[in-house]
Amino acid sequence: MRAQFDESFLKKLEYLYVVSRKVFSGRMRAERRTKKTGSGVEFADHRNYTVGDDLRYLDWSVYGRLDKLLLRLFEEEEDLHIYILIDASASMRANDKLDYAQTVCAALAYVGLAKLDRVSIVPFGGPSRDRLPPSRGKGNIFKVFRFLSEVAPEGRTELSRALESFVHQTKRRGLAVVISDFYDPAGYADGLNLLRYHRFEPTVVQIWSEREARPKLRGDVELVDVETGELREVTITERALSSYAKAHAAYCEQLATFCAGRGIPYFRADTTVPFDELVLRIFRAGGFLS
Amino acid sequence: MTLAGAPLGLLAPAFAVLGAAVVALYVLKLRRQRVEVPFADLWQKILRDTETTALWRKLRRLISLLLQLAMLALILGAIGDPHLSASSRGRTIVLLLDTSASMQATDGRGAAGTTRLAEAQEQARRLIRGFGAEDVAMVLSLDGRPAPISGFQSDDRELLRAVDAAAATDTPADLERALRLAADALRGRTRPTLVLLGDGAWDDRVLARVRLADSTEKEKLSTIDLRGVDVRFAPVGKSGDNVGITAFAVRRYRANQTAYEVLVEVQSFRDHASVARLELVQDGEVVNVERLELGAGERVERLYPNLAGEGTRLEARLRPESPTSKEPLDAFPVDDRAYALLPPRHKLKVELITAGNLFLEGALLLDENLQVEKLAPGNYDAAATAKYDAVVLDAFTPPKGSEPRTHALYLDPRGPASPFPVAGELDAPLVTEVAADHPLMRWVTLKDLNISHATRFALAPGDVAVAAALKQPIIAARERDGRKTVALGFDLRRSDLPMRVAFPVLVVNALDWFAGADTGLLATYATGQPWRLPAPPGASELAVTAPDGKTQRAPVHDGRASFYGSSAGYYQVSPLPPSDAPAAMRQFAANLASSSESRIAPRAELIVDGRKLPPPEPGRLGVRRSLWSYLILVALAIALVEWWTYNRRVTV
Repeated sequence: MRAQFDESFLKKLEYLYVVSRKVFSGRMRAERRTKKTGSGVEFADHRNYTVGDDLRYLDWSVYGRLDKLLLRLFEEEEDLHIYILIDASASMRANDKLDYAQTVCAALAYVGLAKLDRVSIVPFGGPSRDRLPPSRGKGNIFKVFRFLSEVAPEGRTELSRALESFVHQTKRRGLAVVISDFYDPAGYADGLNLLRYHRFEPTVVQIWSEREARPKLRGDVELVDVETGELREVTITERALSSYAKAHAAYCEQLATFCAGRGIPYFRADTTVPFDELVLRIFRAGGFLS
Repeated sequence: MTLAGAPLGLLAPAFAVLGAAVVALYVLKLRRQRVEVPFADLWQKILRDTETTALWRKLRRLISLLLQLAMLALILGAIGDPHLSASSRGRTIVLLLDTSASMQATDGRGAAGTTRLAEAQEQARRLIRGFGAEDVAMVLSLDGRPAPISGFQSDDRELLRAVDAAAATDTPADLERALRLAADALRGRTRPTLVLLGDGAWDDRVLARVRLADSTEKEKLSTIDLRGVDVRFAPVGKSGDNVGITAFAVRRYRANQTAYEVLVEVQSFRDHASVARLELVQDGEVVNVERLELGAGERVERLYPNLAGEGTRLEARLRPESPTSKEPLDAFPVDDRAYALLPPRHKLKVELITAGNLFLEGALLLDENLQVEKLAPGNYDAAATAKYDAVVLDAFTPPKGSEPRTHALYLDPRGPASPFPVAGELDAPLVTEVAADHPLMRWVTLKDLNISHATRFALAPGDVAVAAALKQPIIAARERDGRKTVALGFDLRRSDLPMRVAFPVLVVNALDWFAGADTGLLATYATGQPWRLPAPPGASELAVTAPDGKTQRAPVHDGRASFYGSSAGYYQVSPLPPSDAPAAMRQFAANLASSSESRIAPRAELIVDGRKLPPPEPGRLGVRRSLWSYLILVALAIALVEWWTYNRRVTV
């Protein structure tokens, strides 16, 4: 199924935008503020210290009272850049994950454009891909649609390499929404940490499918990794399926724990969940609109 | 362990070939379904957890292969039908099933008309069903020619089939031969058991010679040794009620061949007086009826002289006194009928080769059943003699190579072509030795015969010196290759033989002997004995059609065919290769004619060697000796285990 960027979809996006306005009442220049640790004056929040954070923003008084290393977060008002990094590796082809990701990407982009933020879309995975340069204003949504339509799934995920390349090519910091299945043999931690080190505000949206978590396989099969092409002969038993489901759940949970530990907003969505429900969940959780 | 089915020589290569096929199929790589997964690393992880060592993987595949090879071996083993070797606990049983004529008596227990054989078969079936699992048994038939109906079997169905196949014959029971056969079959076997199933109406003299236990008496050759054999007796029949024909003979008169006389012997085996009606039937028509009054156990003979008729088939029937009665006369119908055949009247064609001999011609004229053609010696043609029944050569000896092609009577043969080589001359010989038993000498006496000059013959083996002078044969007879030859070593005109009564009798005797010697008393054949049937010249085999319509072949040796007949009635005989000669097709009759077999009184118990034979016992339970069913069950169990382990992914 290909993502349908048609009239009804546009209406849905408009509805989402209206809803988003209720969640957040904007300001004059850019209608939202970006969270930047240290550079603002208005205290926003605390979060756990992680290695690499600027020690200047440690809240020593909290440390004195609670013996915990917490970092003070300040809000800085500025023109917000929203980077939506969409995984277009071969693994996203399975179970319409890419279509779902494109839809969510379009929705977030629309809201961002409508709020006059600078929205840029960066597909990754496989060979080097063009990015959609930062745009502003609802009028550019069709450019977004066209761009997304041309994104085809191929190649390996290689999240770290993609994000490393992204941070080095992107001068303006901002919100970095990573939409992916996070199926990367090399892991996701390095890539996400890199975003944080370069002062981007990452948001993780993990797309998965029930069919991936509980595949309906049985008997003697030859498994082929869609990205690496690696072959493996296995005999699928009930016990193996059960183990796989547990391993998959553990993998997702690990990602969630990783994000929670670093204050990275984390959202997980099955492809059967309506995309607007996911988008609203993202809005309500704050971060994207706050 | 023995294989009753396919031999090991076949099973071993079959296992090699099929086993190789199983291994080849096993070695072939399984074609697996290819499935794309987005993240193979997750699968790697869980497979690492569940997988054991590669050695175990190989081993469990090997287990699967071994299970399949074991299944193959078991199935092939079942095809081989293995049997356990003789067990020391199982019995070896011979069921001696009486199928002699008396078993056709209709006094068997059960519905009216049940024969003793049917009762014995039912008992045999019950016994077989009660056999222990380790017992093996064989069924022997007891009639005139005892023979096994089955081999030693542990399979009940085979034994039941053999019992069902047993049929009663019209022959007396040859108990001695049957017991010796059973003793031979049981020799060296485990727990030998002999079960006699019959009416017990057997020869007491044979039973008296049976030994069941060691004794101090000196063992004789005639002893039937059943020592160590557990002999048991299951009696059948309940009535000894019988009146039977024990002899039946018919003959034509020599002088008047249109008439004949009949001898019938009837015996009552009842313990009370009875009345019966004796009918003589010729070709289906009753020609004589007589009411017979018989005392208990009485035997009567009846001679019916001067009977006449064109028919050839004679039958004697015993019936109830009342002609309208439909009840059988007694319980044993087989001996209530007897059969005989009148020989067809047939004029003998005789060729007389003579220069003129009134004595001889006069003698030949005496017999009205002769058709004589006279020929001068100069017109003799050897080929033409084939169409005559006999040739009489008077003082004429055909040269070598031109011998008559039929029976021949030589009078004073001379020279090297003489049928009996001339060994010398005798002057005024006196007949001192005569073969009185020879058909030629019937009613003939050569006492004081005067011969002026005679030739003495040199006899070959098989030749008979009918008359000799001081051991020098002067009358000789020979029967070879179905052809008979008689030679008188003197000229009739140089003796006083033509003046004697003996001369025409001698000539007629010679011609009767040529004709087959069947113009005398027509003794019918007795069933249950080997018969020596006369065969026409040139026949190498006879086709004998029994009363039930079945035809068997009987090979001919020395002019006679050996045949064993087991049914009473009329038999048809035709020579092979087929002959157009009118005398070629012959008939004869056969009768039970055994007073011992007609004595059908059954015995409720049998005492042998001073011991009462106990009834048979059922066997005991045990392991079946035929193993194929167990092998199939094990193969099935292995198949289930293999299926279960495959589905549980234990052996893949």
